[in-house]
Amino acid sequence: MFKIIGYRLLVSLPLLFFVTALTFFLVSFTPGDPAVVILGQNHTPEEYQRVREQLGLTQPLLVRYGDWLGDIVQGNLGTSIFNQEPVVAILNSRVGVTLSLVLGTTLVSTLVGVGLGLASALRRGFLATIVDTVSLLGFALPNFWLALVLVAIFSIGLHWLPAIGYVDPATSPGDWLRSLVLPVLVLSAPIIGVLAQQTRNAVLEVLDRPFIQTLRAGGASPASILFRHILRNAAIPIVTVVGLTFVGLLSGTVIVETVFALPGLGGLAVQATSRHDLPIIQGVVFYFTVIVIVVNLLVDLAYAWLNPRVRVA
Amino acid sequence: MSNDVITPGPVVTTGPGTRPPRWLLLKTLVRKPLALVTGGFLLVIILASLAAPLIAPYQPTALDLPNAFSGPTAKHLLGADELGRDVLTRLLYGGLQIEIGVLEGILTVLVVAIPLGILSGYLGGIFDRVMSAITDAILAIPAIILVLVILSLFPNNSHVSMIGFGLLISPGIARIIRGVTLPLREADFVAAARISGVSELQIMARHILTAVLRTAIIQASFVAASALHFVVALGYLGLTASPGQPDWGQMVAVAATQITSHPWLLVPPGGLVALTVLALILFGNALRDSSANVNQVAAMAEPVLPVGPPTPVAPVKDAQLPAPDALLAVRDLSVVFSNRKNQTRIVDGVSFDVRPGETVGLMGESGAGKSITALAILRLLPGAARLTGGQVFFEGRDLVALNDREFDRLRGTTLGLVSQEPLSSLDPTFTVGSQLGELVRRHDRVSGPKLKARCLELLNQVQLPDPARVLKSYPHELSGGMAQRVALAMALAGRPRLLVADEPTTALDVTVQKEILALFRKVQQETGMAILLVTHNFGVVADICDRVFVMYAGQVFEDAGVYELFRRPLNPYSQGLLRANPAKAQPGQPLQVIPGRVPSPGNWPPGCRFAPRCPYAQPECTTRFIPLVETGQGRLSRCIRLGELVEKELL
Amino acid sequence: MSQLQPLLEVRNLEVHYKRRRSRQTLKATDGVSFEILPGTTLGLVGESGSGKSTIAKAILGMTPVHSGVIKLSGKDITNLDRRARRPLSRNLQVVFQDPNSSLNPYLTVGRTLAEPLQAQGEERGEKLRQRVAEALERVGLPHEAANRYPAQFSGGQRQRIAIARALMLHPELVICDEAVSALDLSVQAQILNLLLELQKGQGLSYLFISHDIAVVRFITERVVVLYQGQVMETGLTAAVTENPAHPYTRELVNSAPLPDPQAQRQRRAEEEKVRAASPKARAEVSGPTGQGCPFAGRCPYVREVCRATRPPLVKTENGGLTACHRYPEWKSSANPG
Repeated sequence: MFKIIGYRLLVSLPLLFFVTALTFFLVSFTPGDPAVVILGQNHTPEEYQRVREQLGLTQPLLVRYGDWLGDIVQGNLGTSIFNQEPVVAILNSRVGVTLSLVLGTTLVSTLVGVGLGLASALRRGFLATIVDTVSLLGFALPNFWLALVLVAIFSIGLHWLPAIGYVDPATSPGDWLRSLVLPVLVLSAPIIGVLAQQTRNAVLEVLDRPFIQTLRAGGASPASILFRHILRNAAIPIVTVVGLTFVGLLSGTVIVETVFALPGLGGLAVQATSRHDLPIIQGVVFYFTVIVIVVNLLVDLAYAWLNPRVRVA
Repeated sequence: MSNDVITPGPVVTTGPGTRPPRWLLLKTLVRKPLALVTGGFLLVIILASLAAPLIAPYQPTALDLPNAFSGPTAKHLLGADELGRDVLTRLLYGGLQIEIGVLEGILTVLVVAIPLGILSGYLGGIFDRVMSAITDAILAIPAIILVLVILSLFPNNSHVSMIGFGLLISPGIARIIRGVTLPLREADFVAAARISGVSELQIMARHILTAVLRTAIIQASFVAASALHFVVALGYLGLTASPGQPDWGQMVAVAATQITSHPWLLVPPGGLVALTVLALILFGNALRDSSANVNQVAAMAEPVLPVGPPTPVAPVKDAQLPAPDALLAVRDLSVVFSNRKNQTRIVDGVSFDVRPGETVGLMGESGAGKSITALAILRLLPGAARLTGGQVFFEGRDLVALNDREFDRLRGTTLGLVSQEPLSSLDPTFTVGSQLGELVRRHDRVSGPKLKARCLELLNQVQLPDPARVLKSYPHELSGGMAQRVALAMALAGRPRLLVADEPTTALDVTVQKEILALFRKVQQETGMAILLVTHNFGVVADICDRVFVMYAGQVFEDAGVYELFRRPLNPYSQGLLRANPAKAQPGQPLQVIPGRVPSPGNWPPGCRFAPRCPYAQPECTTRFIPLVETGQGRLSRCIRLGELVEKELL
Repeated sequence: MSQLQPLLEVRNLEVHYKRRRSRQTLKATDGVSFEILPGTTLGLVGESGSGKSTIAKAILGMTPVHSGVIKLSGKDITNLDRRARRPLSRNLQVVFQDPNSSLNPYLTVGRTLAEPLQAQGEERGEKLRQRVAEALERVGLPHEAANRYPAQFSGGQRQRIAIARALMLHPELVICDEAVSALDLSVQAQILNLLLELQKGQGLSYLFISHDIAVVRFITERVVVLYQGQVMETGLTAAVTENPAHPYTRELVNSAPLPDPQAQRQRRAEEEKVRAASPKARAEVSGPTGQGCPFAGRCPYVREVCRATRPPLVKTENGGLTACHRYPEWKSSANPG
């Protein structure tokens, strides 16, 4: 088990390096000058030079990237060019929102998607049609549009749920949940369909395997065959899919946080892009990448737990 | 001239002509209504946006302030926006930019992903590993963040961002292409082409690309759908379009500001996007189905006939009453496979008995229906197959009449099963102890040390060395022979009275087969259980069976004691099979063969199903139903010329 | 011209496979030597893991050879690169086991059959079509078959097509790698007859690889018995199968049940008597120790020497070779032990 964790983390380091370097260089080539953003249009050349030096922009690119890497090791992601606050503080204040969204979505979509897929694999017919329709619609509707439609119905029409904004769980757990319902619904819509279809395929595939026949013929109880044997074997491909949808989910947060005005990392990234706030963008990418790495690690562990062949290798 | 030289089966034509079905894919596609509707919709959208200046009712920027926010009216079919601009007109004018964006995305993916996927799948090695690492990295980055970065580099440039989008999803598609290529690289037909001197480039172009293109075309519909979402989302975020432009995304964004007062404005642009994406996906699905069908359609060249009128029951035995001494008596069993279009009979009125302690062989070539017969008895038929008639008596009790719950109680305790693939007949995710223990716990209601003791006893009974270690092993740690022993132990856990063994040694080496057959005999001596053995191997039958039922085309053709059958088969089919066996032939001399091939279910000829291949066939053989008749000494045979052939010593 | 030059000559062939994620190498074949004379059939027989298919792959250049020499008509073809191998297609062809995967499902039979000719730059247009039609006729299929796809044919017919492709360039040697194993009994007999007939008509040689001793006995003149990558015994097929000079051959021959209940049950009873007499428990297969005889772990006649040193191939009385330390002890007696 520790071997897998160690191996995975070791493999992840180059990924972290690659992703941050790519963003670093791409962003640094973008037109727009952070010094100008800070000073506005009216400034003297001296002021301009002073700000650039303060920001470290006079240094060569590689040196700046090296410095940035060195700082990470000390838990320092620099300061925002826009408002001089430490990036770590800004990100930490917002990461909770994104994590709530992401975890909530994962929970909801996995429970509903796997449940639907399982049910439709065993009952086929009508349920299978529902699963197909749900997954088709979930994929076909643009997420920002779905968000607006849901807001129009549930917030403006029925006044059941807040249209926008986020409530801290410390302030009011109930309102926190209510503020998450629509965003989570929008994010889950495409994933539920994908998971349901994958689950159905996986379960149908397992149902065809000879060992199910062996167990049935041997007199194993139908409940045990379903919950012990079929689910566990079907879970192996499903876990992989859950891991893959996760990255797409992070992309989704960017749009959903913007539509619902949630103070999370995704919305921050959009803002920072328009302000050329390099340290913030890098910070967001860094956080996202770490989240992805942790998820991949969890997927690997789940995979190893489910599949004894991997454990041995 | 004897019938022993090459006499291949009939080659069936697909149509009247002999032209190759070159556009099979397109043909099958056109036959699908869904493909026609969705494809037509997409075509209309594209043509309409190309012809926007000709067909649009207004100018995209023409203001009609008095009618601002009008819902759908005769004047504005889809309503008008906050400045009274016609929504339909703006949708028509906005289409082209969207379509160009989607096209850019798809082309980028196809140009990048297909070569990369094929190369990394076909070449393997370092190239593949580097590609795989890059793919991992790119798949780990939320794509939109990078596109945001690209967009600040090229502000408002939708072309660059769609190409960027294409580049970002290419690795995922390339991985799928690679997945298709990988098995092809190892395929025998690629090896054969190489051995025939075909160059690598030609192999990639002819053998790999043809297979990969199908996958790529299908993936393209999903790429198109994603690209459409993406290009609209960019417009919505105001990254590639400014508020005044007739852009689908911007129209949603403007509608969002009016959401409290005029929600209708949301409907036309969003609905259009959703419908277009739906059409793309459904079109892709139809494409996938028809390309999967290409092979099936080709294979379906032989028409699958609907089930004809039920064949009359052979008046051989009383179909209702079981033989008094039989443990298992199967009477007139019929099984039908059904899919959406056809019903195909695969087992047709099979009757046989198994007496206590007896080993009975169900012998036949593939397609004879022997395995399906066995599974029907165990109520383990695959989803598409259905028992359509007959009874299965166990000690006089009709099992077909039992409900599922009652039947479940017989599983393991009365009827056991050992199947063909030893390794895949064990659950790979549980240890042997866990799955064997599960059955023991259920049958014996024991736990703890007693449970373990019984498990060890079972493993000892199947003569596994070091049973304690085997209990802790996972199936993949066992050899084929060991796994088959474990499978037998699982079948024995409930002490069944009848063991059904479905080709139990076919996947094993001969030396292991010998051991497993010896084990069957030993266990049978100890427990007195009866064995129903399904096999295609005459050697196995000769080794272990007391009685044999030779099956052909869903029917029993001969029923005889094992010694009698081998000494003198009383049916032309059994005789032909025995003679075709190289084990008894003179080396180097041509074998006496049965010409032609086993007819597939649904293509059974009328009358005697063996008649087209039978050296003794006469016209009368094909005109009427051939019953299974008594031949004396308790033997049965399905042949109307039997008496005559025996007399002439042809049989 | 004192002696016929062998068509194929394999000397001390060693092929190694690397085990995944470990530095161990597996000797898939170890010091295998044999030769095929023109117009004859040599059988390679053995169970799974015996290395018989690896030998085919090595000859066909599908796997690298670690050491040893493979000569085709006197020309060294060991480890030739792909470009240099291309002209060999005129001499050496193959028929694989699985007729489903040996034909490209997306190409018509005609295109599949034309491919070898096109690759060699031979024939085009009407001439090409004619050659394809002739090839189909040779294997007993109608000309129209050229316009159809593999899925439209049965397993036996597909195997005929695969044979037709192998013969397009009129090779001298065809490797049949389990070419009839996937077929039903009645179809298998048809294909075996076809192979025999083609051999007579065209003077073909076959390297016939099979796990089925009955088929090998029927179609081959000489046979090589392999176990875990090593040659256990070689010789005339009739002699080897009637009177095995190696305990493994004996076991292989006796394990395949005879399609005759009386003879089969008699043989079984005799064997049980022998086994009862020698109380040695037979262990499950143990891997080769690297030094001794690979069969030592399963051999009922095993001695210390068998585990310690690898037995050399020695001449047998019926003109073959056997790798058994104890052969000299019992060569005169019919039944060892």
